Order: sequence, then structure tokens, then C-alpha cells
Amino acid sequence: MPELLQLQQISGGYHGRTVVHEVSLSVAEGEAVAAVGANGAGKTTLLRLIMGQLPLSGGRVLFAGRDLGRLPTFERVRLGIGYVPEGRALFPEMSVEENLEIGAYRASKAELRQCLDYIYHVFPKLQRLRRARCRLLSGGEQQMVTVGRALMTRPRLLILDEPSTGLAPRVVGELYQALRVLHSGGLTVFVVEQNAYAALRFAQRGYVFEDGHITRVAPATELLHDPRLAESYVGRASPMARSQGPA
Amino acid sequence: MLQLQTYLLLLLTGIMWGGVYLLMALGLNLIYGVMKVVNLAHGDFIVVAGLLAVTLYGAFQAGPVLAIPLAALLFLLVGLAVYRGLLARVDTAGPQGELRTLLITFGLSSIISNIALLIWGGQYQSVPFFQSSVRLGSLFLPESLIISSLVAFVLAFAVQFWLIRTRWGRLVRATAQSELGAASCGLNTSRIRLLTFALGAALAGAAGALTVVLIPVQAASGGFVTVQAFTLIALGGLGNYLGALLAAILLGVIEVSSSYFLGASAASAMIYLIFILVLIVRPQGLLGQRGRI
Repeated sequence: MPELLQLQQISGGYHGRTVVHEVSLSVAEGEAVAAVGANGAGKTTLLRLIMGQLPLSGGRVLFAGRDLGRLPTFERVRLGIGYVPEGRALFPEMSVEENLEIGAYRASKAELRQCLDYIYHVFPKLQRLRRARCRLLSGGEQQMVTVGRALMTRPRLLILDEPSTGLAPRVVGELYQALRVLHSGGLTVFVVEQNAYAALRFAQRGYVFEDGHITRVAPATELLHDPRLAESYVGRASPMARSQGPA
Repeated sequence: MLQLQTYLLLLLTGIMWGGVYLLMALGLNLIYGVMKVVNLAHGDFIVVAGLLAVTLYGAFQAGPVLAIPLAALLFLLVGLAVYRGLLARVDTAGPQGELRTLLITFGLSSIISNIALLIWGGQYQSVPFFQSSVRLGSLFLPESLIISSLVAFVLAFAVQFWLIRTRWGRLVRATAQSELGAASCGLNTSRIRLLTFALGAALAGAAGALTVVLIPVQAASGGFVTVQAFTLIALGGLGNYLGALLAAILLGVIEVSSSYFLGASAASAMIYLIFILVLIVRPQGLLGQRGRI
């Protein structure tokens, strides 16, 4: 399978402080990949580097073989990377449907309708809530809107930043069920998660991320049964940080 | 009976003045709402537009009907230039970013007001248009106030309509509510910011060319106008449109009635007294999040 997303030894951070160190990673077309790690490991920074929210201090990001260089975020989205950012970044004073429509603001009326129908098929709940103001929705509903809005850009690759944060376990289950549906429909998915259990049960392959480095890459099922990682499923204090450090 | 009429006149005049103040704050509110930038040169845009209208009147006897669109167009271009040349070149993210934009627009304000001082001198000037009074029963209202407030309310409504009903307006609101969200929908947010800043500057231009028939200005009045406009939008909840409308009417009525009962100097004290009270009781503004664009 051809690589859709390739990170070649990328580094970067904030104000001269490097958070992500020479990370190499790839996501093949049609694959579902998770990067799991403790809070503060640099997962969000990694995604911000991929999306051009932060400048790279080294390395390259390739999408469909093309070096993204210094392209701004919106250009990357237009190339086909759907982005579900940390904290959801919804338009809180707009309705669910308005949020979704802005995701497809460049589409024709017919395309827009088609996209909306698809989103409502994946998230039937959103159809009932389509007139509701996003600010008033529950966390799970808001997360569905964010995923839906990213899908409206008709991405080839969907990137999600900690989609389970702040959600009840049952809601996390529903969300990942929807991601399974999307993935089986042919969408390539890359998710970073602190909730390693949920993400690795969904993904085919997993990267373990510690202190800004990739320390392991393995099939998700193998990582799921790793006793060291298993500690993190029950939510003990920073189990990742206690493992062996950079490999 | 006479008293009732007095109250009615005070209320009506207050609402009208509120409309004028709203117009003078419209551009500032739009720019803050979308960009989180307080344009400290806003008042200078208004003042220079007013002085231009004075010059136009002096040279061609041209009234506000010509001066308003000209000033709006001119300041649209000024807005584009200021954004492209200054604001787009600095990192505006984070708390440091806010300080940077304040410094830049403050510097711009000094430059503009000093150039204006060189061109127009320091005297107060006005455009003697719409100078008659209109009789409403036994009440008399100055024509300049009626026309200014009507245009002001129409413009405020037009901006609101544009923001809510049109495609571009919607994209502007989306960017105001979440810039990251807008970018992740594929929106070129820096173009939206450019458009917003230019539009906010054009609104300041239009406001200046209109209100100069009512409020005489001189080159250095800009700072005071900015403070007044900022007070209004802070009272309404920064970036909040409905709140600004409410605050404008409140300020207008308070100012007019307190200057009637207590004298003109007490009026401006009353306004800031109310402002401080609102900041203490409702720091998020009269309406807070409700009615945000």
C-alpha cells in the first residue's frame, strides 16, 4: 500500500523549546493508525506540526508523496487532510448544521446535500440536533460535530487529536464505533490518544510516544497485550513516563 | 403633561444619540470580534474621515451623501494597507500578540493624528449640513441628529444582516468563533482577517463623514473617540452585537438625561460611573456570550 502520510524525522516545538524530536512515522492509504502516549508527551504538538499550525525545526511532512513545506493549515485541509483538533474548535454560537456546512463551504449545493446525508447516516443523532446551537450540546455530541465537520471537507486522511478527552466511557465507545464505520468505508485514519485502550482497539498499528520520541511501533493487538502499556488502561499516574525511556 | 413630553424628548434624543455612538463603535466591534485586536487608531480614522468631509464641503459644497461613500472607500483601502503592511507582519497569537497589536495601532494613532494636525490644524471643524429642526408635536429635534441616527441604525442593521445571512458574513462569524475551526474547514483565515479589518476601517470612515455634521472634530479628537467607542463595546460585551446596541441606547439615554438634569460635565462622569459599575457587576458585559457574532 502506498504511504499517504509520511513524517521524516520531524522536530519542532514552541519558542525554541523542542517538544517533538526527530519523529518518523507513516500511515498507509486505507490504514487506521494510533499514536498513544501520556499527557504531555507531545502528541498535540506532533499534530500541530503535521497541520502546519507550528513551523518544523527539522524534517519533512509528506502527504500523498508531496512535501507540505510551509503550507498553511487551510491549504493542507484542501489537499485532503481532515483535522479534528484538540478542544474541538467548534463554532459555538452556530447550529450543528451551520458548523457542518462551513466544513463544505466550497462545495456545490448538490455536493453539500450529499455530504450532509452521509454525516447524518454516520451520526444519526446529529440529524435530530441539526438546529441546535453547538454551545448547548454535550461533549460527545460536540465531538461528533467536529468529526462530521472534518468529514465535510471530504478528506483522504482524517487526523484526530485526543477525541476521547472528557467523554464518558460509553460515549468514547460510540465515537470509536463511528470511526470504525468510516474506516471500513475506506477512510484513512490517524488518531493520537492518551486513552490507549480505546485507540489501540480501533487501530491496526500503534506508535508509542514518550517525551517527544517514538519508542515503539507494533501491530495494535500486540501493544494491547503489552503489560507495561496495560497499566495505562486503568489510568494510573503517568504509566508511560515510568517505562524505559527512549528506545 | 409638559413633563411627560420632556421625558419623551429625552428618551427619543437619547436613543438617537445611542445610534450615533453605535455607528462610531461598529467598526471597532467588528474588528475586535473577529481578530481580537483593539484598533487604537479607530477614533483617528473617524476624525480624519470627518476632516476630509469638511474639506470636501469647503471645496465643492459636497455634503455627506458624497462624503460618506468616498470616506468609506478610502478607509477600506487604508484598512487593507494597514493589515497587509503592519498587522499581518507580526505574530498576533498569545498574550504577547495582543500587546503587539495594541502598540502597533497606538503608534498608528499617533502618526495619523499628527499628520492630520499638520494638514488641518487644531481647530474644531464641522460640516453645516442638515441644520434645521424637525417638529414632532410640540417637540423639536435637530435634523442632523435624526438623519445621523437613522443612517446609523440602518448601517448597523446592514452589518448584522451581512454577518448572519450572507455566505461571506457567515465565514467571518466562523473565524470569529474559532480561528482554528475555520482553518480546519479549509478557510483562508488570514484573508478573512484582512477583509474584516478593511471593512471595520471602512465603517469608521463612513461614521466619521456622517457624524461630523453633528459632532465637530479636530485633529487630536481621535483618542477620545476611541475611548468612547471602546467603552460602548466593552459595556455590550466585546465583539457582541446585540450587547453593543443595548449599551449604545443605554449610554445615549443616560448621557442626554443626565446632561439635562445635572449638566453637561456630569453627563460624561455618569457614563464612566455606569461603565465601572457594569465592569464590577458584569465584567463580561451586559449580555456576555449571548448575541455574540
